[in-house]
Amino acid sequence: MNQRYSRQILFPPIGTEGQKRLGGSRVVIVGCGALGSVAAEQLVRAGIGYVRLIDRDFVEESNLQRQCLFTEQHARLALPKAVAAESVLTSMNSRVRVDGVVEDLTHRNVEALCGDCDLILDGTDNFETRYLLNDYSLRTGRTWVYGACVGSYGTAFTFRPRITPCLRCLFPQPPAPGSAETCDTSGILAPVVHLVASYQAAQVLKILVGAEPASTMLKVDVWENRMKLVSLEGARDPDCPCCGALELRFLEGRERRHSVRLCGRNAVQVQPGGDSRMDLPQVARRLRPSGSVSLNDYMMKVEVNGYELALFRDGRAIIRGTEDETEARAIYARYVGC
Amino acid sequence: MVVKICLFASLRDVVGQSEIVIDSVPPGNTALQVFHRLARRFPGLRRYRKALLVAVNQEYSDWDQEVSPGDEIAFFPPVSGGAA
Ligand SMILES: [Zn+2]
Repeated sequence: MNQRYSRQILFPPIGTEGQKRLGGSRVVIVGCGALGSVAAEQLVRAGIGYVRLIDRDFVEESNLQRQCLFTEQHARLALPKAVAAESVLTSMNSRVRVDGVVEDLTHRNVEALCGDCDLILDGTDNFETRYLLNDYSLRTGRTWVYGACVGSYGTAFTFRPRITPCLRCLFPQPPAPGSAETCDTSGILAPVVHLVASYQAAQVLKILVGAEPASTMLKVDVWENRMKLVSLEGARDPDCPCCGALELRFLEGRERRHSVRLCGRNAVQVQPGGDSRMDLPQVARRLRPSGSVSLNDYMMKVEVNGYELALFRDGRAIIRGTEDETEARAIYARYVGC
Repeated sequence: MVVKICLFASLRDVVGQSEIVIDSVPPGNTALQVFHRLARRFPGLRRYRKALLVAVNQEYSDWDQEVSPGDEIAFFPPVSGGAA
């Protein structure tokens, strides 16, 4: 072992043995926005053997205030976050295998994208994907490390199947529209993102070297100067349909939506049913008369009627300028077709 | 009896402060009754009720848990952001 990890190895709970374990571990990070990019940097620098990043989004200027892996150049090129992150992370630590995947995690691809990893870190921005991760974790016994932030507030918890309560025990239903805060109603501060993501990364390191992760839920507000660790003993619901009866509706695709509002973006993502491959240059040619079109290898963007529509090769679109899913689906149908 | 209530995220914004002391809680009141008492003063809290997590003295608690004098009752709303 050379100097690269020497300071981490000097830390007794890790040591040479722990470092070896990290090097032999595989972690998947779902969502490479603010939480995901902070956690990814720490895990890649720590020398985890393999890190996969899954993200459906592309870099925009408004991300740069807090998403530590991205640059102005990435935003100008509108690179997919997974692609930009892979290249930056590889330059930080070329010994780690980093794999960026430009996809939306769904019940169809969750096994392919998470099945070969030891542990899942949640960097997502929506409850639908988290319920899917919760189901997948219960089905396969994998631990997932939850994190979420808004404004100056953040929370994190390590969900361990059959040991801790599951996400459904805590939140039996996805929050009703308008009842959960989002980054577009309350904004988001970089310090709380870094705090929560660092806490998540620490839990991952602990689990991978065989130490016990936190059994309490972190609740922190960096503006109000509050930090609480809430014990979740007694929170496991014996009648929980998920961890009790193993009714895994999200994993079975029975809760799949075709559109989803994107946190903080004044935007909706629309996903066509089934697998559809797009010929982006061809779509771009078709749309040129309707609006201003730009194209790269990964996506096509068109500005039309006050909306901005970003179309990816898998047929998925992010429609900006509306928060109404129905409206977004209509725009998709008008300009992309189904 | 007197209890202390801690409010996080959007609940804090509704009430305008992150901590509030209530001194007129009848003995034997549950966490839910305390919430309703607060929601009478701040009706904007009501729509969050079904989605909240409750902790009494930093331990997860059911809504029907009785609170004791001096307890700290915290309400946490769900948060979806990963700061995408
Ligand atoms: Zn459960």
